[in-house]
Amino acid sequence: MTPESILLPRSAFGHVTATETEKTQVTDYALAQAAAAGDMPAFEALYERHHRRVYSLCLRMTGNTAEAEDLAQEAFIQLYRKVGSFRGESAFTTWLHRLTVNQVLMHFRKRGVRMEQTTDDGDVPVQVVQGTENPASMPVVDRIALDRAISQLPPGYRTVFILHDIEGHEHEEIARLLGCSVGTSKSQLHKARMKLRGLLRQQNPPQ
Amino acid sequence: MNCEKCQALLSELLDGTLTDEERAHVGRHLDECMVCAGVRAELSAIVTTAHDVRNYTLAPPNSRALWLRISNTIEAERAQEQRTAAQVAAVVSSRRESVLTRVLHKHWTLSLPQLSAAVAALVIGVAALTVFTVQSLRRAPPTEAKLPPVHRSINDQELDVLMQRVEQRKGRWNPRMREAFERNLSVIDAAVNDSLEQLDQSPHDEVSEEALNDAMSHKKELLREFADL
Repeated sequence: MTPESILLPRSAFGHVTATETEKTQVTDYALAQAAAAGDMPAFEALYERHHRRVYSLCLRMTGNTAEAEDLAQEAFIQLYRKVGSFRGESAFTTWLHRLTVNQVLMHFRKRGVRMEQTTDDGDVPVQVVQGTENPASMPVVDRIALDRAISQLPPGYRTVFILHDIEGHEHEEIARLLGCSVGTSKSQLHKARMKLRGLLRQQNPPQ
Repeated sequence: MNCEKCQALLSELLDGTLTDEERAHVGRHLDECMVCAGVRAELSAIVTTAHDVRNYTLAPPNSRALWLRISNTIEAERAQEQRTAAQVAAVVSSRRESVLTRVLHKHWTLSLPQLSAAVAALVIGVAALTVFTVQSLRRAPPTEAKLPPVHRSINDQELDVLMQRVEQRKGRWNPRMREAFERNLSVIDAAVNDSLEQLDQSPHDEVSEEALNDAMSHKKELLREFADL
């Protein structure tokens, strides 16, 4: 079931009766407008629809449940403050997603998290796979194993991998969000994938 | 092409961003090299699984408790805003009342020449205002007034005041504190500049606008913290 199609659990608008509301699929945009006018049940309905996605994104980007909860809380508080500026030009989920990513990146900047970057003199080089490595292929990658491996990536690699391979951002947008070049974004993504490959092989060594 | 060069291009091969020539080179190497072909297959499996991961969401340990924390914070903010608005309204109305009360309760005793002079001044004032209004209307172009062009700049008096205070206090800080401040400020300024650049390119981009507001409020927060140190 997509977030857009969830039925509103209870009355979200003062002028609509509970029965009417339960029968109506209320769009995110309508809920956002009601929330902007101070309607807390409407805002709660938005929370019910989207909190799992927001929390999951925060958790994957930080790799820490407590931090993820705090960031999800902050993201929803920011959402409440800014929901009035949502004009429905893009999908609500996209808008909320970008707001959450900004929130997490701002948190990283405050905390002084080092975003691994390729410098001219070169930093962490990618380990070239040689013929001496166990030739058996990596065991089948499942979602849980991949999630576990992602949590072990350095923060910079993790951020680029999540934004590109999981959330589907283009390199140009990632570069803008992180304040780096497109080339750096591509390079970090490749390093992240190679690192993940190594981590997944360590988790379940090929027989 | 050797294995090192081939493996460096595997991600771009998977993302379809290689040129035809590069793709042909890499393809030839992969046909001959089992090791690189294996790495390509494994990276491909990772990318495919990552696409599926997006659809799996996790619930926070206690969704209800998280909602209560969020709603409590929002309610507290709203209550504070209402209190502030009520206080501002009370101050404004008391000022208005006091000015009005003073004017209405004043006893006016004017002599005949004073009264005549006041009436004459009033008549001249009204006539001058009428002439000015008529001339302005004639001068105004018949077309609709154009909206001013979008122009964004950071002009915040509070920010300037805070910055001045910070500059005054900087001398007393130890080097580590100064370094921490400069580092944080440069990161925030980078975010501000980035958002401004984006807004110059697309002036109605909501997200860049939000990012700018976020960055500005973080800057204020940072300056407030350091202005008291």
